[in-house]
Parts: sequence; structure tokens; C-alpha cells
Amino acid sequence: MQSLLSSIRALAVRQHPGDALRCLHLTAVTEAARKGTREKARKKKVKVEVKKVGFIPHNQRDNKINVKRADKHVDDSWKQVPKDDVYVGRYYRWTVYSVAEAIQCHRETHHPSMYNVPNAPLNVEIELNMQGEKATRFVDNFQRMAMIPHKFAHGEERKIIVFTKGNNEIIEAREAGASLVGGVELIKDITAGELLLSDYQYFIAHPNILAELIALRGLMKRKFPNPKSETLGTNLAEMITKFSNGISYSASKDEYQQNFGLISACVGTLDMDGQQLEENIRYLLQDVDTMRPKREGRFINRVLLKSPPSSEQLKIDPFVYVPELWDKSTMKPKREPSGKKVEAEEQDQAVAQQASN
Amino acid sequence: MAHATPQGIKLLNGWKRPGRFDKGLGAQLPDAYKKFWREWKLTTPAAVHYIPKEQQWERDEVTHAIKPVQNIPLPLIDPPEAHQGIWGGEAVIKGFQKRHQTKRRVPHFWVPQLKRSVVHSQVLNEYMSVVVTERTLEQIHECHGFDHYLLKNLACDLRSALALKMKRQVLQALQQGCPNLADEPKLQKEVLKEYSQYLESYTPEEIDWYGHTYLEAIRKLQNKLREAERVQPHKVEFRSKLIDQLRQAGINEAGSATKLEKPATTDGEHKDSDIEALTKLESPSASSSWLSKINPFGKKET
Amino acid sequence: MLKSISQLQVHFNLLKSATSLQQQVRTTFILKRKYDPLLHKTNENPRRMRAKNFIYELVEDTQVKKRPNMEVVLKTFVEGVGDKGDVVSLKPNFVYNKLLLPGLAAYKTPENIEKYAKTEAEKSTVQHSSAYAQRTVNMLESIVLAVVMNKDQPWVIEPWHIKASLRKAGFHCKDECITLPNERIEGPDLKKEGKDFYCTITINKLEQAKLKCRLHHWSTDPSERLPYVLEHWKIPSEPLLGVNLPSEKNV
Repeated sequence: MQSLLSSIRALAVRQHPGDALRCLHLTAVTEAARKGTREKARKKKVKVEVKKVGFIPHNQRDNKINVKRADKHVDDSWKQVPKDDVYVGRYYRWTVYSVAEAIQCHRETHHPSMYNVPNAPLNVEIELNMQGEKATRFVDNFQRMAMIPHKFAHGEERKIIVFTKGNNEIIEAREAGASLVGGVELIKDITAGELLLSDYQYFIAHPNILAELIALRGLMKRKFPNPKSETLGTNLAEMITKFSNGISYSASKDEYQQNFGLISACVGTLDMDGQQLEENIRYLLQDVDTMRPKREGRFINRVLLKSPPSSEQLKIDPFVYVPELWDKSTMKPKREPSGKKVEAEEQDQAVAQQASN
Repeated sequence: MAHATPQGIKLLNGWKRPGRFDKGLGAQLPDAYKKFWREWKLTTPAAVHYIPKEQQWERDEVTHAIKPVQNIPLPLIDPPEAHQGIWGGEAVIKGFQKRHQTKRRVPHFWVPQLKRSVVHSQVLNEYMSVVVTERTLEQIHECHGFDHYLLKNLACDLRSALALKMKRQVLQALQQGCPNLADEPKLQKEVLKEYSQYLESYTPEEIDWYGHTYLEAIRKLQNKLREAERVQPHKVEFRSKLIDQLRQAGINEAGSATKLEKPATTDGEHKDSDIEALTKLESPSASSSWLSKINPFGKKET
Repeated sequence: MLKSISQLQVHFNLLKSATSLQQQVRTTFILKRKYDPLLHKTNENPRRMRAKNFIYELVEDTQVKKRPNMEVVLKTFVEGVGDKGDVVSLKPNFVYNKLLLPGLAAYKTPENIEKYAKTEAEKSTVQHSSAYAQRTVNMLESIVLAVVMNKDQPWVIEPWHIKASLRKAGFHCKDECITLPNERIEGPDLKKEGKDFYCTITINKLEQAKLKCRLHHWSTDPSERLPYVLEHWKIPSEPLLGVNLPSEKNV
């Protein structure tokens, strides 16, 4: 017994003088520690880097930590609805205009006799409730391209590069208005280095060329064509018109109030036809609605129409074009049958196993 | 033993300790006051600080045995301040709180939240500033008026002496036909029509004795008894008789037969006023001639 | 002596107070005994209570709950609330202190609603079109409206210009409510810059407000704009020559 112990001692451990008792234990280094203990110890050792904030003068120091901010989701349902024909706006609920009325109001202020900017851009500000399915989780910021039926000059440079095989498709793409169309040879050019991908903002591809396109995945990174962002598809002409004429908008959460999201987009100019502007707004709202989280309550809170240089904000009702509340019935039928099927299968398997045993 | 009790040999219904109405002046108080006292102190008021169980029988939670429901009211304390205001049935509760299972019970007083507010009586045509509670105002709103609140609720529900005094004043005003509203006859008529229904359940004597505390009632009774036994002193009676006889006999100093009577004076002030009057008659009047002013027996000026 | 009589009457009285109980509003703290006293024989007095029976638990403190709004019938026109005969629902404190006690309103009962309803004669002579019209008039008369017109393009003042300027200032109105002065105001004319004229706003076809408007010229090109005047409404007013107050007939 003693000889066995002494041999192990020689193998494993440094001898501490007067440590006879400890040698008997065959220290923790040789044994496997309880699961997770070593991980824990390792994590503890990792140095936490303290961010150097720099010097903040004393009157700005605790400013931003515990400041009580007003809720950006403005709720004026406690206010009265105006009954007189002339009234002071601040004591009543905001009037909800129809899109036509709102455009008319803007046109009045931008008339040649007043501001004289009849071709001013019409901006839409959409306030969103970014609450996710859970109370503490929020919808991520997203950036999308909304397709609109009536194009207008957006003043952005949008170069589209299209990857596709097949001559028909190439011709189709060229006609649609892509800046560069090509197939395998285009990919080879890029990998060779003759063409710079950074010149082009949007990449559209047909699934038939996907195999070769994977070579460029590292270069394109986030802009790689995928069906979710609708850059990968068969209907190239449609995609190209969408990306060249559509509205590019991004929804960003407020840094202090996580459940408040804002989209600011231009849907046209004031000299476009009212109907066309309305259709553009409708398509934009429907596109925003696709990013809706699956929970009760509103997603789009408020939609305001603004038009620089005027600072007027005119509220419109988006729920004419988009459903206000999430409809539960659209979701359930998909889940239940599959769930039941899975359970049934599991039950069958269990029964089979028992039978075999 | 039984022979020493008021009931005597007939001590069948139990030993009755004499209360306030069984001895002294209390026993002489009229039935009207005793009816009011019963209504105020001896009827169980409506539950304010607890929720009584409506049903008659209930099951015990542990044993599941059926037992009768006995709603024993919480003992309430009316401090003197409560009688200075109208607290609307609320009062101070003295008791204990058991804040945690392992901690000893702690004495606690639950006191209602008071505020000073104005209350308007239509019958008395007055605005009064009183210390009230939220509950008082709610009850006034429920009864559609302060007068209705006072008249609809029993004395036990009103609790405070001030409220009961006001109720008496309101009843008296209604009895007399709302003298405070004499300037607005139309409103007076409407008010009388609206509130006359409450007069039916009270006799005039009851209204007179309503709303007094025991001591006030005793005082009132005392004053009444004193008034009743007050006798005019014999000398006053004999003097006035004498003066009348002299007057009849035609003596000038006694005054003319058609002389107007002096206004009645209280006993304490002018006991010998009749004598003073006679002496004044003897003294010469101010408008006599200079002759009467000279004193024939005065010292000559040298 | 009295107590025995009272015990017989207790049930009767309990019944009496119970009827008012059902309608009672509990605005106070409500306690509950932790240990109920033992049952007593029916016709006897309740048992003597021990300290244990005085341990109470708070069931509810109704002081902290929000009280529902109270409904009353207005007896006369009250600004900001309503007209005679209106049934109004507001916070109980406001109703009691500002309407019931001063005698401007009465409790809502069918008799009161009938009594204070507007008669035919009163309905025809409308003095106030709405509870807030007078306040709107006061606000309109206190402002100096900045009417911004173009510096380069020719224009003539029309009602919709005033309407748009009012909307920018936070007042909402319709074209029909605006009555411009009889003279045409044309421009651009830099002599008219910063000068005032009056126009009439008719609210609910009844109340009229005299609105002071001040002309400003604005150029689309930032380099040609006139320098910004800080708080132009505080500058003493200069009337636009040849422009009089519009006639005060109801439109």
C-alpha cells in the first residue's frame, strides 16, 4: 500500500514538506474536477478589460444614467376629440388626416405663393413598437428595400450587379436596368480583381448560378444574395426594378427606449399624383408589416407625413392599408398539425420500442 | 337579597343594574329623548370598518361543521374631535397588528383621514365649514344632498353629536316652514315639498329632544323644571296689587289709569323698580320754573 | 332596561341599515378580525372580547383607489364644461367644489334632468356655441399670426393662406371660418414687410375673433432671405396702409 502510494507520488505531485496527509488524497489535478469547475476557474482568470471612459466633467457625469425620459410612444387618448370647427390643437387629440388631405395641406404650404417648393420630397415617419415576443426582448434593427409601383427620383446612386446564366435572362436583366449583368465570366473577373465589388451597392442573382457565386461569399459578406432579402430569385426583372426604384429604409431603435423604433423614408415628391403617393405609402406600410413580431398589440404606432422645409407633422391612419393587430388565426394552423404529427410519431416509436423489448 | 332590588320579590327577569335613565334626573327625561337615545347608542350601526357576512349559516373551514354566522361589530372609539366634525360613520379603531407570524402583536390605531370641506344645507340655506372624511362626501352625493343625508340616516349611523344637532335644526326648520328661505318663496315651497316626507316619522316633542347628548338633555330638563317651579316673589305681587288699587282710587302719584305699562324687566335687575318709579314721580319735573330750583333753606351768599 | 328592548329591535334595525348597506360606498379602511370570538348563545350578549380578538388585518384601504367620475346636470352655462342642461361626467372633487357647492349644477336624477333641460326659447337664443369657444377666441386675439408669403413670386392673400399659417401656429380651422379684409393684399411688396392687418375668424358660426396677422416675406433661396427677427410679435404693430377691419357681419 505504501509503496503504491509512493510511486504515484513520484509520478504526479510535487512533494510538499510535511504534507503527508495531502499525498493520500491524490490531488485534484490528477482527478477530473466536477463538471464545470475548471471552466469556472478559467473564466474567473480572464481579465475583464475596464473601458476607459476618459475624464467626464462633474456636471455631466451621472447625467445619462438615471435620467427620466418621456415615453416616445405618445399616447393622447385621454384628450378630447374637437367638436368646434376652430380649435387650439394642443388641447385636443391630433386630427387624423387621410393621405389625400395631408398631401393637400403640404401642397398649400409649399405653394409658389408661400414657400415655393412644389417639388419638395414627401417624407414618411413611421413609429414602431419594437417589443418582441417576450417582454424583455426587442425586434432587431432591420434595413429593407420596399417595392413601390410608381417610381420617383430618390437621388441615391444605386448600381446593381446581376449574376445569372442563360442569355434570355441576361437580356431581360439588361432591359430591366441593371448596371452590369453577367454570368460565370463576371465572377471570374471579380475573383481576378478586374472588377471591384465595392462599386456596386446591390447584388442580385438567379439560383442557377448560385454554385459559382459561393466563391464570392467572403467578398460580399452581408450583401450576398439570399431569398430572405429577396436578392436571390427567379424573377430578375422584378427584383431589378425593385432595387433601382424602391424605397430603401431602415428601422432603428432608440438607444434609451428599446421598444421605440423609427423609420424615416421618402415616398415621393409633392408634384406627383395623390393616388400614386398613396399607393407608394401603402406598399411601404405593407413591407414594414412583414417584419411584424408575433405578439399581441400594435406594431406600427403612428405614421406622420412631413415635407421639408415645412416642419409640420400630419398624422395619417395606417390601419386602412395594414392590419392593426396581429391575427392569431394565421399562425395556429401551421403549428398545430405539425406538432401533433411529431407527438404521434414519438408515441408510435415508443410503442414500437416497448413492443420490441 | 331580592327584597333589596327595585323589582323586589318579582326578580324573575334577572338582575338589572340601574342605568342613567333609572335614577335622578335621567328618570325624568321624556320618552322622546329615550327613543332618540335608543336610536343613537343602542342600535347596531351599519358596518363601516368591516364587511359583515350576509348569509345566516356557514361551514367551518377546518372542521366543515355548520355554524351560525354572528357578525360581531368592531368596537369603535369616538374621540372628542369626532363630535366637532362630521366623520360619516367612521371612527378610531384600537387594536393590534400581527405583522409577521413570528413577531409579537403590536398595538395600532386606525384613524380615518380627515379633511376640512364645505357643506351646504338647502333647508337652512347655509354653507358650513366642517371637518369631514371622504366617506361623508360620498354619502352626501349618494343621498343627493346634505339634508337628505342627515334625514335619511339613523342617529347610530351619523354618530357625531354635531351631525345630530344639525339634524335637529333641519327638522325644526322644516317644522317652522323654512324661515331661512323666507326671501325666496318659490324655493321655500319646493324645499318644503321635497323634505316634508321626513317630518311624518317625528312628533314635535321628539324633534325638540332630538340630537342632544345626555348632559345637554339633563341641562335642558333642569332648565325646564326650574322654569316650571319659578315663582314670582310675594312682595312683587303685593306691590303691583297695591299700585293698581291706588291707581283705581285716583291718586296722581300712582300714575294715570290709562298709563302704559312699563316693559317687563327680569327679577334680578330691578327688584325695587316700582318703588323707584314712585320716587321719580315725587321729584319735580325738569321743565318747572326757576322758583322751584332755588332752595329756600340754602345759605345766603354774602 | 333599554338594552333588552334594543336587542329585540336590533334585528329590525340591522335590516334597516342593511338596505342602505347595499348601496353604500366604502371609502375607508376595512379590517377583518384574525381570530373570531367564539359563538355566543342567540339571545345572550356577545362574549367578552379578549386582546386576541382585537388583532385585525387590513382587507382594503379604499383611500388609495381611484374614485369613478361623477355625473351631474348643469344649471347654467359653465365655461370649459358645458351648457345648461348638459349631463357632464367629471372627477368628483372638481364637481363638488366647483359645480355643486356654488350652485352651478345639481345631482343627476330624472327630475333634475327634466327641470334644467333647455326650453325651446332658450334653444333658439344661442349665446355660447360650445364650452370652449370663448377660450379659443381669447387665444386667437392674443396672438400675432405670422403669415409667411413668398418674396419672389406674385401672390394675393386668400383665406387658405391664413388657414395654412394658423395650422403652422397650432390652430385648426376651416376656410369658411376666415373673413379677410375687403381690400386685396398683393405682393411681394417689401413695404408691407412686418405690417399688420386684421381678419375675422368665426367659430361655430357664432363667436367671432379678431385675428392680428403680420406679413413676412420668405425666399426659397437661403442667401436671399431677410434676416431673422427675434420675437417679431413683441415689436409694436404697424398697420398695413389702406386696409381696414373687415365688416362684423356673421358669414
